[in-house]
Amino acid sequence: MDTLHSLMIGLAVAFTPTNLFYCFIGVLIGTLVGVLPGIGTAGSVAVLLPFTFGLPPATAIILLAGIWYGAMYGGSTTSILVNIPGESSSVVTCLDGYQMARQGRAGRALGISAIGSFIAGTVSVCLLMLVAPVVARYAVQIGPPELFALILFGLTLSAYLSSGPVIKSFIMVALGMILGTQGIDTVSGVLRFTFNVNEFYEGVGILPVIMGIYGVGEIFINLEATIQRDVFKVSIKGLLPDWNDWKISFKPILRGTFLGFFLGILPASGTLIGTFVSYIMEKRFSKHPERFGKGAIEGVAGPEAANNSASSGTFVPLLTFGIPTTATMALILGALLIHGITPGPLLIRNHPDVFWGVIASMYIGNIMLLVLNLPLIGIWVRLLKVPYGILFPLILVFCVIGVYSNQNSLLDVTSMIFFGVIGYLARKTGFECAPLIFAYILSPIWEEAFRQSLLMSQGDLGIFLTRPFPATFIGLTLLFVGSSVFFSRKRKRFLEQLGSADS
Amino acid sequence: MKKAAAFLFFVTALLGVALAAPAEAQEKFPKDPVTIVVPYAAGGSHDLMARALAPQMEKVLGVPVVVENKPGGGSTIACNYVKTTPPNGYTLVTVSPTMSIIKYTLPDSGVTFDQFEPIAYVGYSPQGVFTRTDAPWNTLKELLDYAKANPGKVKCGNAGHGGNFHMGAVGIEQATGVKFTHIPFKGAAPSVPAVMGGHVDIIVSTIADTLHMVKGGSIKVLGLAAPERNKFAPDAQTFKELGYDIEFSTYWSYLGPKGVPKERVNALYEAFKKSAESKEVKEFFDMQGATLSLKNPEELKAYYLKEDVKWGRLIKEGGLMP
Repeated sequence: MDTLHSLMIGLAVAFTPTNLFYCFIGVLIGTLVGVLPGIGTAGSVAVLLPFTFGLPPATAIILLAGIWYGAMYGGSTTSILVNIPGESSSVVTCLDGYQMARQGRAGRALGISAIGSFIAGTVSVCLLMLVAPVVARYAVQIGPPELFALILFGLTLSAYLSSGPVIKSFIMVALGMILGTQGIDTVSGVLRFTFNVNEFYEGVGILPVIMGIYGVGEIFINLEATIQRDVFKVSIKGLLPDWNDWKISFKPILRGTFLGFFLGILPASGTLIGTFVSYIMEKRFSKHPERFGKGAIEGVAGPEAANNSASSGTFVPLLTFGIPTTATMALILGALLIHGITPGPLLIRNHPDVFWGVIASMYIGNIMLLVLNLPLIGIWVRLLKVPYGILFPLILVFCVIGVYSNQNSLLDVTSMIFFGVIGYLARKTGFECAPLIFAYILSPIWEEAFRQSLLMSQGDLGIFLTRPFPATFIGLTLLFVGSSVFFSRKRKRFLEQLGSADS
Repeated sequence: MKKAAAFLFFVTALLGVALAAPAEAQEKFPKDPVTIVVPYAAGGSHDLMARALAPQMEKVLGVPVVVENKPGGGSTIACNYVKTTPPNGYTLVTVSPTMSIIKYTLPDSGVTFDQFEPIAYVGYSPQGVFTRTDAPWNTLKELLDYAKANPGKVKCGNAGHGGNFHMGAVGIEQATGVKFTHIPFKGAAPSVPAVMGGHVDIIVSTIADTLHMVKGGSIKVLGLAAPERNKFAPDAQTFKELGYDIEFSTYWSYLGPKGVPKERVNALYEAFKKSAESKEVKEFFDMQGATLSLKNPEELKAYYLKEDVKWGRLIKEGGLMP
């Protein structure tokens, strides 16, 4: 009841014409940032930050937060249409979203991701409002040993990210892990795989890798076989998801929402990991896992819900403890501090207008985003009718601008082209790149967590077994690996029996 | 007649060129946008400081001041980039003590402070020791007593091996004779939940990085490596009070590539000074937990020479050279 009353105060703040206006501007910029590949939220928020110094505190945060969650809506657009993630958190959407577009179902993919994002956005704001302080207390209990066990479990599931042979996906995982070690080692300060190039001290970076493998690699493939583009010309009827799509996607959206939110709270997790885990989970529990990678709508719905609710989840450590877990959150923290607002346990009491105003604006912003994005679908889908000869140079230009603008580095552009060739070769040889990217994101955190744990325990590996949480997850990992070996044997035997019965 | 006109034209043209030449050498500065390159990701304290100063500097200089992030590589990527730009005062880099440290810890990067032209130092924030609110220690003395009695037992989180905070922790060990177990994290932010959850016992950080968390009640400050008490955390003991004369901080200084003309250095310093002393930026300093303190180009140069000696000795004694 108290919460409801506070929310009413918040709505009163959010519904003032000024705040409505800035909320709209925020989500509009966010959508654009999301749609444009490579242009990230942190860069855009940073540019707008000095401008917000002159605004009232609640208005400033409403604007900046709008960009952050708005980008999660727009990110899926280019993933689905041209196989280029608009934001790094929309990589997974490429897997099935792009396949849907190739089957003439682009509108449905875009529609389910907009509606999924809306549901996730709204539900996760409720979660943020109701459980943030409690959850945040538990989140700090997740230390290096817990993180290690959690990621170990995640990595064993990575085979689900590809529909090809397990051995190929493990090769890609290994490559991703090697790639993840590049740069200055956080724990020892040693330089690894830097080839005497100063700019490699930080590693290649996630953006050139995903833009290269998905965006540029896709262009190379399409240039080779233009005829395949005909599949896009299948009529665009059925712009929006029908009842059947909706029925399949509803549960994945809900699961993605909760998963994304809780993973978004963890330090070092951000919005990206939840999308991968959501995809893996949907495929693992699907009755038809073979549809994944070939245009399964739940492979779009789940991850897109996950990245949206993760964007709310990242607010939890910021608002409850003042800990920013992403660059954008660090900037929003800066904006709060500049206005004399200290995030932390006292925030809700000292600045109810800001806290509840921003929460309320997120409900409104999500509605605005839905209204903004649904009519856009028709326009986006029509974009596919543009001849590829005109479309691909444009895509390439946007990729180059996006990657360059991120750190003003030409090496990033070169790296993107390099990974474009890798992506091309991988497609040609039947390797899938999603496991590589998953491992590339997770392995640096994993390695760090492992070594931090051992430093904590003075080299004693028992730290992973004496703490309940890591022990549970290591147990789950063993169980999972054991059961897949067992079941695959059983299935083989079953098939053999079937074969002998036939003959 | 025609010839004469042509001759006259030629003479005036020559004259024009001759007159224009010295004018060009002393052309108005600045006439193009000034770029401040930040070696860290957007949202860090050096990024926010540059973004707070930029609008004020625009008022003073009359040209746009652009903040550009080139994060990574322990700030060597940005430094190497700015080092090679033309020394015309249009490209600057903002650095922390890391500038003096990387010379010893990352010698292959080829960055040393003498490749740069000191321009301005606007303020600092002292480093200190922080812990979770329900930790058994309430003062610096209690922590040090415990750490002396239990060598290697206190787990100390930092923001990366070879970074400013790691070096600060090593400096504390060298001065007080305690022994920590160092646990590096990727940046300052992830070390905070680790100390709150009790995965590490203390972290080394600065007031500027943690003030809001101390005020918000997430963590508490035990002591500061500063010559006097800090106005933002007046209850925190200093190492000096306990007899250890150590001083570690993070600071906001601005450098150009070596060879920026003297008058441009001075023009830029004046702009930094005026902006830092403006009402808006002073408020920003207070919010950030940063202490306003100016050093002009000469003072900054002398300071860097002193810093170089201090860090060189600390890193060599600590056996932290690669």
